[in-house]
Amino acid sequence: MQPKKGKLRVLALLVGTSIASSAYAIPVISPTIDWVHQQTVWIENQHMTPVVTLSVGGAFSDTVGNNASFPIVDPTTDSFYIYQANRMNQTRAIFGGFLGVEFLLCQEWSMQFGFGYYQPESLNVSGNVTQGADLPSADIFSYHYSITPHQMLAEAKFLYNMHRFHPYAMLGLGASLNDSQSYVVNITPPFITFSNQFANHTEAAFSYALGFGVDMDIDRYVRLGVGYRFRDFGESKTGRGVIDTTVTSNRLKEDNLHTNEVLAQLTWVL
Amino acid sequence: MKSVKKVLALSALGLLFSGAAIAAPFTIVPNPGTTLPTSIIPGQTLTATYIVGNNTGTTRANNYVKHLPPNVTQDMAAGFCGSTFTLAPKGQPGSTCLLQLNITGPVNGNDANADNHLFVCFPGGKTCGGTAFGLNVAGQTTGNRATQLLIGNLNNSAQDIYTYPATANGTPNPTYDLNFTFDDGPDSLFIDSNNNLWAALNDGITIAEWTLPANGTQTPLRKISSGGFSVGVDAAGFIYGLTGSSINVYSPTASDSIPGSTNPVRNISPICVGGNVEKLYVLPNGTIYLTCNNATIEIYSPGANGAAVPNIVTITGASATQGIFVDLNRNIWVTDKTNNAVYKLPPNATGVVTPITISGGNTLLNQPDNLAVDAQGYIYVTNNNTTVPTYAGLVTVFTPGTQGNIAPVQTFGIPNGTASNTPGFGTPGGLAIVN
Repeated sequence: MQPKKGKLRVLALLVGTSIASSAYAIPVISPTIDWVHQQTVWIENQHMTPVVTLSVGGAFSDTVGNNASFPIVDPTTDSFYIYQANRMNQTRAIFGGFLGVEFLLCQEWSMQFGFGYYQPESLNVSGNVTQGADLPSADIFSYHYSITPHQMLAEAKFLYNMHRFHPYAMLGLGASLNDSQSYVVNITPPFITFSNQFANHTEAAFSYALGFGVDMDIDRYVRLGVGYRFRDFGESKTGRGVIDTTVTSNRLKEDNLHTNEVLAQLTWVL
Repeated sequence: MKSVKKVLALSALGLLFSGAAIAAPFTIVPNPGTTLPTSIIPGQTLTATYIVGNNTGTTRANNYVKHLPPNVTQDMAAGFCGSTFTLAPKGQPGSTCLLQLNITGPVNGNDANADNHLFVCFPGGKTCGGTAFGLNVAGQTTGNRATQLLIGNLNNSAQDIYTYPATANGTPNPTYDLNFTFDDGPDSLFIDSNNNLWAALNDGITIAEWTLPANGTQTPLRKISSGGFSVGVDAAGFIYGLTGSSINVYSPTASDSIPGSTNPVRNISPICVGGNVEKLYVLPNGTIYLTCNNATIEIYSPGANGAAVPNIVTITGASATQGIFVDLNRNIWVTDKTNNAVYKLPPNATGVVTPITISGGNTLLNQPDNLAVDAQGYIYVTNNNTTVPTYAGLVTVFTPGTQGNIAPVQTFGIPNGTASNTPGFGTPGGLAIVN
């Protein structure tokens, strides 16, 4: 049994440094510091078990879609464009996977560390664009496009070992590749005017997830769990708008795309 | 930020009007009274005319046509929207212009590429308006033959206009017989883009319009007294009357029943300098083709006015040029009363031109007067000479491509009197075909 003080130091070390790196990299952390070296040796001596988790669930996202305005700069050539998003609440399925290791921090606590990938179904953004050279020539057309986040996280999950049950809290930090694509504006009648045609675009953004839940041992190797996640995918934005043949700087943005989720998880402790 | 607030306020106002029809920067609609073409045969040139209106509250300068479908070009002749054009604010005089398009082949109205549809833009090409009345023109390998022939009888005792099937032969009874009591026979007939019949009487004083079919004692829709002895109507509805010394252009609403409306809006004079005027033909875009009896024709551009200078074409070998017609391929057809000939000139004829000729004894042409050519190429000619019994009162029809001394494929006479069974033949004058 290691001294309690030593365990806390290891815990602090892991939380502070391991989130953005592989668990297998832990032994090389600050090898010149003696006490760290001692704790590293201790970790290497622990039983590190590979862990695989599959997650499925429902992701609830509120007020998807942001308003945007692109005013007239040159009155002789330009039209204004005002995008009013419907800001719909949406529930989508989400799936993901986690690959990492688990080890005991102490008798009561275990930790999992590794990498996760999560992807909800595409979220829809829709609304109306009002455009025109002035009020008499203004028209309103509907538009829509989709956002598909691809979140990649370094995750740490802390489990409290309570017989067959493992209440846990988790934290993940990383990046999300947010695909904004398939923008369509419904010009009716067709070919009556031009509007911004926003190109597909993948935005790489800082992303994180927080959550808690409980896992339950089914047998020695399998756990079934349920949990809550708050997942922030960061900013997404479309490509630049093209009005007929003219490329503009216009983009539609979603500043902070996030979901609240309930996940069911199946974990294999190998 | 201030500008954004302004725009948002504008947007809020705009939403109040969101139930209104589509506005867009421009309103582009077919010119009233005209129809957009729906089919075309190879080599044919058709026109489509739109009214382009400024939908904004300010004067817009340097607008231009940015996109057109393949096979469509803008007609930049005087009177139409130019390469760039300025429009006054919506609802004010000068807020519209007439956009004429020339169509030389099929147009796919369902093309998904917006750049293959009509768009008129502000300078810079970012703010544009299209039309809900896009072109959709199917290509045909060959045109259809005319369905009906309308023949005017110049006999003083029977000033009728007979309608026959285009395939009439021998001594057929007319399908319809329009009788009227004007002073002289109809020597010039014209079918306008609304499929209405126009006739100019041989006395040179009256132009009249009827709906088709024209039958019995049907009252004309309107009359224009002193309108001229040859008549044509363009796609915009302007009426062209030929007098001995000028071409008078009347407004689309001109009528004896509207006081003051029969004053010409344009008057082209002098015409046929060095010769006498004979007949005119008018294209939908307003191009005027005029025969002078000295072996020349004159071609006036749309919008010509006053002492406009025409394109003068002298026909090699011609003598007393008379009737004139321009077919769907813009070939120019002319009759020659002295040489008993029909001439075909190319669309771009100018200067001295040697024509393709139909003449000779086999043709039965005898003082050919008016003529018409249908979309399939059949050539229909009325012959005035009633003094030679063999040829008296003949309408002669030639197959497509006929040239030289070739017999007509059909010949038929018209009744001599008001009753279709009156013995003898009348004198066919005016001629028009219904496609």
